[in-house]
Amino acid sequence: MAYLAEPEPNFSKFDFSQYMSISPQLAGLYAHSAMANFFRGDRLLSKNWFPEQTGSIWKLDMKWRSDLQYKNDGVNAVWELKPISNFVNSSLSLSGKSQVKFYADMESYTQNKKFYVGSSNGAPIPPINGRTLNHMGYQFSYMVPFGGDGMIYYSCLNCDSPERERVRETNHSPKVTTQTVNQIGAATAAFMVFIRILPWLLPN
Amino acid sequence: MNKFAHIELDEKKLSEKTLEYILKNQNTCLESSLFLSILDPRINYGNLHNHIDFLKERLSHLEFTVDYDTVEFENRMQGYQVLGLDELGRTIDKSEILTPMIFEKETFSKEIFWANQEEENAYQKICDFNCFEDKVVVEKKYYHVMINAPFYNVKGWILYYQALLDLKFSEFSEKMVSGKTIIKYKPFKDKYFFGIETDYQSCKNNFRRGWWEAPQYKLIIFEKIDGKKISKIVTFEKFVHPHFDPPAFAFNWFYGSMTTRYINEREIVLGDDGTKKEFLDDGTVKIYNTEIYSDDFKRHAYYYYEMLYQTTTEYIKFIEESFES
Repeated sequence: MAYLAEPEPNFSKFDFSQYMSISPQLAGLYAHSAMANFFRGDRLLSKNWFPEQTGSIWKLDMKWRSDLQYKNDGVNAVWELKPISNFVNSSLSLSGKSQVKFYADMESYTQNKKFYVGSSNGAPIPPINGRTLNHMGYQFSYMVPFGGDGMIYYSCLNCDSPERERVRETNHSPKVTTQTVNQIGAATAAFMVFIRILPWLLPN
Repeated sequence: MNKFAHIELDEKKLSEKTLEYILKNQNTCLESSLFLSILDPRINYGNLHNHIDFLKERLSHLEFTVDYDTVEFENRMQGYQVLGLDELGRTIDKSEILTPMIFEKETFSKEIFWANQEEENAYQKICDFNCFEDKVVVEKKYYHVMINAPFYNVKGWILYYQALLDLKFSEFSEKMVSGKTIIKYKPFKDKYFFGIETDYQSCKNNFRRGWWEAPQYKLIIFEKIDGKKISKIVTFEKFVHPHFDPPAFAFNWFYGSMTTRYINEREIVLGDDGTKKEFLDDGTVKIYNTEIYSDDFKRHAYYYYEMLYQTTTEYIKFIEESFES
C-alpha cells in the first residue's frame, strides 16, 4: 500500500534526520541549478546572462565551466558561484578568484573577445544578489559582496535541517528569515571591507 | 550582403520586407512577437506607421554569414535593459521587470488566437498525451534524481512536435527519413527541394536535464540523387526568421514564467511545476507530476509553431527570391 507524502506525510515511518539533510556537495549542485534556472527561465535576463557555460580547448585537453557569463554590447564578464564558507576562508577565497580569472582568460581566448572578471569593467551586478531562491524545498540565499572580483556566494538556509518538511507542512515561518541572512551577509561584507582598509587607516 | 555559390542574401531587402510584415500585422494576434525584441514593452506606440525610422533602425543590425554552403546569421540589435542601483550604489540589472509585460502581451495574443474554433479543434486532435512521466527511485537517490526534474515524456513530446510540423507546415508534405534525421520537404525550383531537417537530438538532451526547449530545425535546399540520398546545396543552420528569433516565448521562458513565484521582491520559488512525490512501502519514492500545467505547455507549443509558420513564411519567400539556380 502506498501513501502520499504530500499533503499528509507519515513522518513516523522514516528517519528524516538522514533523509532530509543533504550533503554540502549536493547543496552545491542545487545552488548552481537554482541559479541557472533563475536566469534561463526569464525572457529578459536570458538575453544577457548565460549560466553554466562550458568551454574547451581540444588541443590542450582543457575543459571548464563558468557558472555565469554576462554578454551585452561588447561588455563581457564571467562570474563564479561558491559557498559562503569560501568568503571567510582566505585560501578558498583566493582559489575561487584565481578560478574566475582563469575562466575570463580562457573565454577571451576561445571567443575572441575580451572577458573581464565580474563587474570590474562595467558589467552590472547579477540580479541574483540579495535574493533567496527556493529550489525543490531548499532555500538558497545569494550575495555579491564586492562585484569586481566576480564572486557570487550562496548559503543554504535549510539544507541540514531535519525539520524542513515538518516546518513546510505546518506552514510555520522558518526561524531564519531571508532578511536575517541578508543582514548577516551585508554585515560580514562590511566587516571584510573594514578589515581590508584598516591598514590604510592606522597611522604608521 | 553575402554572395556565394547559389545564394545571395541581402540584409537590407529582408529588413524592408520585415518592415512591411510588421506594419501589416500590427494590432493583430501576431503583434506580440514584435515585443519580444523589436519594440519596447513599456511604450504604447500607437500606429507603427508613425515610427518607420525607429523600426528601420531596429531592423538594421542583422548580418548573414555564408560559409561555403552554410548560412548563419547574427542580429546585433540592442536588447532592452533596465539598470538600477543597489543599496551599495552599484549598477544592477533589473531587466526581469519587463518580462511580465511581454508575457501579458503574448497572453492577450493567445486569447485572440484560441478564439478561432478551427485552431481549437486542430489542437484537440493532437494534444492527447501526458507531458510528464512517473519515475520510481530508491530513497537514497531521490535528491540526486530530482536535479533533473521535471521528467518529460520525451516520446510524447517529439510525436507532438512532428504532428505540429505536419499541421502547420503542411506544404512540406513529403517526408524522408535517414537514420535519426527526418526531412520534411516540398518542391522548389527545377531539380531543387526545400526541406526542414531535424533529428530532435537537442530536445532529447535537454529533456534529460529537465529542460523544455523548442526543437532545433534547419532549413535546407537540396537535390535528390536517388530515393534515399540527397545532395545539400545550401543549409540554413537555424530555421527561424532572423528578426523573430524566437517567434514566441521560448519554451524555457514560458516554463519559467508559469512556474516561478515571487513571494516578495527578494524571495522566489522556482520550478513550482506540479512535481510531487509518493513514498512507497518497498523503500522507493514515486515521482510524478500532477499535470496542472500540461494544457498550458501544449497550447504554448502549438502557438509557438503557429508563430514560427507565420514568420518563416516571409523568410522562405525572401530566400526563394535570393536563390539563383
